[in-house]
Amino acid sequence: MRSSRGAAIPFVLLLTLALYALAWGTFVSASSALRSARAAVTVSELVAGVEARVVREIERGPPGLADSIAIGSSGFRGDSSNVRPWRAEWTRLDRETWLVQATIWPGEEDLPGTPLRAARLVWVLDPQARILALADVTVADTATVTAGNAPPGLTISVVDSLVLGLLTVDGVAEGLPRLAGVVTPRFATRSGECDTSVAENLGDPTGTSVCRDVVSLRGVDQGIEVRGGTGHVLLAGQGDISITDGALLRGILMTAGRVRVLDGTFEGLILAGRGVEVAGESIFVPDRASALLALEALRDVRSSGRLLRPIRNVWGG
Amino acid sequence: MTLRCSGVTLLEALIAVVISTVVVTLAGRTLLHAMAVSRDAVVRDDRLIARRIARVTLRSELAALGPGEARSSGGDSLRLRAIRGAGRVCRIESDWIVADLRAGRSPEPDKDSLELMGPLGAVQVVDLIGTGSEPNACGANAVGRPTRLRSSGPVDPDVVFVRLFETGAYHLDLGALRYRRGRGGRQPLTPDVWDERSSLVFDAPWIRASLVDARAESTAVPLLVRVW
Repeated sequence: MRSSRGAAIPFVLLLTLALYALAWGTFVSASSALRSARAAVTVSELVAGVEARVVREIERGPPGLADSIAIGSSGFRGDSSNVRPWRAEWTRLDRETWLVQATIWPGEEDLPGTPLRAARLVWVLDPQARILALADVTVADTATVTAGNAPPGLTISVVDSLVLGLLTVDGVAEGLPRLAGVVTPRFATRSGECDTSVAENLGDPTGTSVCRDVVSLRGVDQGIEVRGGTGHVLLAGQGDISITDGALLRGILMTAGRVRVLDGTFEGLILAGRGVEVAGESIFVPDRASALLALEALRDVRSSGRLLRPIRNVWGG
Repeated sequence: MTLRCSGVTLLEALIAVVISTVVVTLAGRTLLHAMAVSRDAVVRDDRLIARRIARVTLRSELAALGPGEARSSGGDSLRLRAIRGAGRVCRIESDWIVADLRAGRSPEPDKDSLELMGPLGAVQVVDLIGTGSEPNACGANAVGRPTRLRSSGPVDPDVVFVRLFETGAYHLDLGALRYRRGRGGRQPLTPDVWDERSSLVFDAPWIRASLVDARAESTAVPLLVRVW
């Protein structure tokens, strides 16, 4: 019988153990680095996600019926079924001032982590608040106001720059259909409905057509003359606005130029950088109800908010 | 005849010695290598942690500020308003307000100021001279801690939001990012891993930090963060 008592087997086992230990260390190190990288990627994605969410919220405007949210209260949007659940909270600080906060949570496939938040202070046009803040006539400090038969108690405000809250003249006019030259308003219908795609259709405020409740929003880059006809409008831009030939306009006229009511009637509020002229027999009625409807029409097409300050987060981060 | 074999032959002993030598040498080298890797890992970890703290801290502080509220000085420091809390204004009297305050720490009159914001974004800055608790002043919708904040001067009656801040400065000094509140000492926020050639410049809207590694002289890590 042959008996062998060599040390080869212990040596081999020892060597195997050493190699295993080395391999295990390398594996743990690689696994840790991978996990760390995944965590960093997740955080970066969440940061980008919450920033995008709060920006999108500001573009959409307050949730639901914003008018029903009292000062100090909040409205919410959210999606808990999303891969990464999110929630947006709109807290009303004032009639037109909101705190918008977005929160996003890591998804089920992400590494566990805390939710990320981003917040902005935002101004959103509130027609009633804006109407209360406006004078009957607002002009720049170098402008003149000439009104032959001005109504009693006419209020005039002189300002450094013509704005509607945080909206400049160009901000109001942005994206609106343009009017230029001589315009004779005429309401137009198509398939039984008011056809607002026609530039000269400024509504039918004194008639009974389907356009009687329509408020037309138009941009005025160059001077226009509204010759005859009627309309319920918000006209905004850089050019002069003249009302002639017995025309009747209601709403808001907001221009960096002049507003001249030479032969006709205007019922509403005027913001004119270079002044206002109401000729002898013409009529200007500071009608806030018509102006309110015009601002509500503007709010409906421009519900997005504007940042109160150019900061990325109210609290930082 | 029976062949008996006991003990080891000379050849087996030699082979065992050779294998043992190889194994011990390998194990020793592996141990030394592992120790070196571990040391490097600690150093690299410190650098990564320091860089991450610098990036997150600076970006977080500057993200809350508007233009003109931070400025560089000397190429290695950044002076700013460090926002420490904010909240909706619930009540206003002549020289005090009650705010639904959400803050990282309690307001401290000896070092904090208030940034009061109006509904169209106008900002009024006043010193904080007193505080108190007003638990029920902000109604049922309060999300923070309703706090009475007394200001050094009259408060505009239409402010809607308040932010609590202290004036502070971040420095790259003695190899670490340090924070200095007011005229206090510079407290390190990171491990000391950078050398004196490192720089920190706020060139709005960018933070440009060049972090030169103290141990690997050729490594300069540019840290570029857009604030707005």
